[in-house]
Amino acid sequence: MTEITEQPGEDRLGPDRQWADLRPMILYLCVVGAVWTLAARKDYSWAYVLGLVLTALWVTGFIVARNRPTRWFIW
Amino acid sequence: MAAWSAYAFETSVVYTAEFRQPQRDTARAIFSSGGLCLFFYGLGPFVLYGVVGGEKIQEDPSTALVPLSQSVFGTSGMILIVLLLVALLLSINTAILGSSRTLYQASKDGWVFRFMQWTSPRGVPLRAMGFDVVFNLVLMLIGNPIYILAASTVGYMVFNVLNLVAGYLLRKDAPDAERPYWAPLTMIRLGIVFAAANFVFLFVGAPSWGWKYIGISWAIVLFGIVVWYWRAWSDRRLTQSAPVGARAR
Repeated sequence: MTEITEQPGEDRLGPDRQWADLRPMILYLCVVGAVWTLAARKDYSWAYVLGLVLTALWVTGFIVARNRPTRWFIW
Repeated sequence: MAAWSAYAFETSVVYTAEFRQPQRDTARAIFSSGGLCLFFYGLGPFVLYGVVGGEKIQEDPSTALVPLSQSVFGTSGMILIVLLLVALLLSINTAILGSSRTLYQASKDGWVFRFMQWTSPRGVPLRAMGFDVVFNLVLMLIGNPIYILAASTVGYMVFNVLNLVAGYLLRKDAPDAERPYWAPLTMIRLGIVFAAANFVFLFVGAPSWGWKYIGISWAIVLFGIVVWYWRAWSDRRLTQSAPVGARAR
């Protein structure tokens, strides 16, 4: 069977570029995920509430960063 | 589990680059698929509960549609069971088509193994499809199909969260880039809210699989990070070993 590899062309999104450091957001999501896991595993009411608050805060971060060169809160 | 079963209509956008008129056909594909899913997934539970009853469903939820088809269509209900099996085969087909194209694009973008970007002369990502089949066979050999369901659910929900965020960030980063389909800004912003909802489902729904399966699922998903680092290292090594003239090009 003949197979071919597509030749790398110019990326329509332009050259690869580091837009921002997303590590703070990823780290934050890991922490929130851990809180949700604790809530689901131990059925702690406070963990559910904390998880909801932290998740809402995560969404708020995008609103704060709207129309600014920043991505999520200050990063 | 419900999200994993019901969301799948978005797989229709995987083929956007292959549409003749993506700007028109993508919207048609996603909205008609979504409408059909909303209708049937909304109607299904009511019909099932009304005809079969709660007790019968609880006896064996996985085969609850069999008594439904027999109650409604009598002995000809067997034809419907055959049709359901055909639908199951079609869903396997859809899953392989969608995931192999995703792996192909990920390989082109430098995220996964390089061999996955190979295509047949007709443009079919055969090696990505082959990897798909082999990987699922290995999961099946472990002995319990629940591994496949749990692994695919965790992976699917993680990517649903990341994709929706990526869509928003891409619109901010490259607003003028050429796109096969231009989604309305409201939908892009709503995507963040849906990402948050999926994020909650991902963790709160985990116990339904059992922690052992969820642990293995996360291990499979996080193995993707190892593959990414390996690919980045491999690409760097290739660039360094390439002739100076080739590197300049």
